[in-house]
Parts: sequence; C-alpha cells; structure tokens
Amino acid sequence: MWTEVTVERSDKFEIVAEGEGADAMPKDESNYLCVGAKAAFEVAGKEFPTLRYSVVSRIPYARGLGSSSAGIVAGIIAGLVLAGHRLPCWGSEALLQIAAGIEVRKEIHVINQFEIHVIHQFEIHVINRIDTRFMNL
Amino acid sequence: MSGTRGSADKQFIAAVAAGSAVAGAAIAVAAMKMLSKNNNLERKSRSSVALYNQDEDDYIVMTRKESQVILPHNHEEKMRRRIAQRVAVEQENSTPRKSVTVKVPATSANFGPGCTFRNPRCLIMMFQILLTNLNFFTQL
Repeated sequence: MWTEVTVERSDKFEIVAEGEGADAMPKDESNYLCVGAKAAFEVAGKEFPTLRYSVVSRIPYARGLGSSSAGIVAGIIAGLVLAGHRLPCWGSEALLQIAAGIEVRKEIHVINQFEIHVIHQFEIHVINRIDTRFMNL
Repeated sequence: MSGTRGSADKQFIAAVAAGSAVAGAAIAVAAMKMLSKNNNLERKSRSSVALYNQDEDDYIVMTRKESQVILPHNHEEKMRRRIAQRVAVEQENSTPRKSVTVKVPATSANFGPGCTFRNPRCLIMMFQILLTNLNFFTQL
C-alpha cells in the first residue's frame, strides 16, 4: 500500500489526484502535500515556488493507515529535494522535527506515524537514485 | 648391464615424478594465494562504506564486520546502511531539480487488538502492509 506523489515545478498550481479518497482530497493549498512542501522550503530558506502535484493514493482514507501523514511526509521530502536542501547525516531526527512542526488535526497520531514513514521513505524512495560510487554494500 | 640401465630408468622416472609433484604443488600454492588475494579484495570492497562528515564537509570511509548478516532485527546495521545510502542520495539531491517522485508506504502503527483475523478486510490490509514491509526488507 503506497501513496505515490510526483511534484514538479510549474507555472500553474494544480493537484491531480486518483485512487483512494481522491474525491475527498482538498485541491487547494490546505492539502497536506502543499503544507509539507511549504515547510520544507521554509527550512531550506528558499522561496516557495508554484508546484504541480500528481497523487496516486493506494492507502485507504480514514482507516488508520496513515494516509494523511503519508501526504505530509511526501510533501516534505519532495520539497527538500526540489529545494536542493541537504539535511545532516543523522537526518531522520531533523526530518521528524520538520514534520512535527506542522500543525494538523489533533486526532491524528501523526508523530508515531511520521517516524515510520520517515524511515521507510529513506530506505525506499529517495534511494531509488543511489550513487554507487560512495557505497559498496 | 640391463639391470643397471633398468635402475637408471627407475631413478629417472622417480626424479621426473618428484619434479612434477613439486611443480604441481608450487602452481597450486600460487593459485590459492591469488584466489585468496582476490577474495580479500572483494571482501574489503564490500565491507567499506562512505559516510558524510558534516563538520569537515568530507566523506569518511568506514568498514564493518565481514561476517555480519543482515536480519530484520539487526537494527543498528540497517540504520548504518540507511545513513550510507542517504549520504549518496543527498549529494545528488543537492543539485536543482524540476520534478521529483516520492513513494510513501502505509503504516501498521495503529493496528491494535481490534484488528483481528476474524475481520477479512483487516486481514487483507495486514497482509498488504506485511508485503510492503517485506519489500522494504529485501531492498536493503
């Protein structure tokens, strides 16, 4: 079960969603993707550009499987990558601080979920472009 | 006369056999040394990993125990590998990009006693998340 998000620089703000809860998903800047990306650009100290978001959500909505926090984490990671911002080596804590600084609904136990998402994310997603010159595992 | 010649032939054959044995042993030892050298090189390259040192803005090459096998409960080694991978990725991420694709998995953090095998929907979800986790273990 995954949420796959493609974020690209664009002239026009747009959110294209499909999959679980796509109809109920807000298509404005209150979307967690935008909130996460904005927070990432703030941390990077860069101006928040106009972005286009394409979301394919396979995580069931409102079932306790972390679809909301997945959106926030995806936004943060995408924002950090687009901003070209480098977190310190032990960056999962720094990333957790960014995520924890975002105000979301209190009934979502986001902090616990963030940690898991952050770990998974670093293992699987950003890693899809590994520079093998520096590692020989 | 023939007895003397016969003993000389036997001595010659014995000498040739001994010489061949010594030469064969020498070749075998040389081959083993070469193989072990290659193995060592391979092990060395597999066990080394680069970590980014933020203070000095440089990479530190670290080695790990060769016999260590990565199992799901081996958290420290897994975390070390994650950091190593992240270092490599962060360097690439420092260059400006126009687009990025991020994939985030579901969480099993909220599964509790209410989620039982009697509920088929729960069972399917648990199975799917288990598959996701297996996928991430195999990617390490």
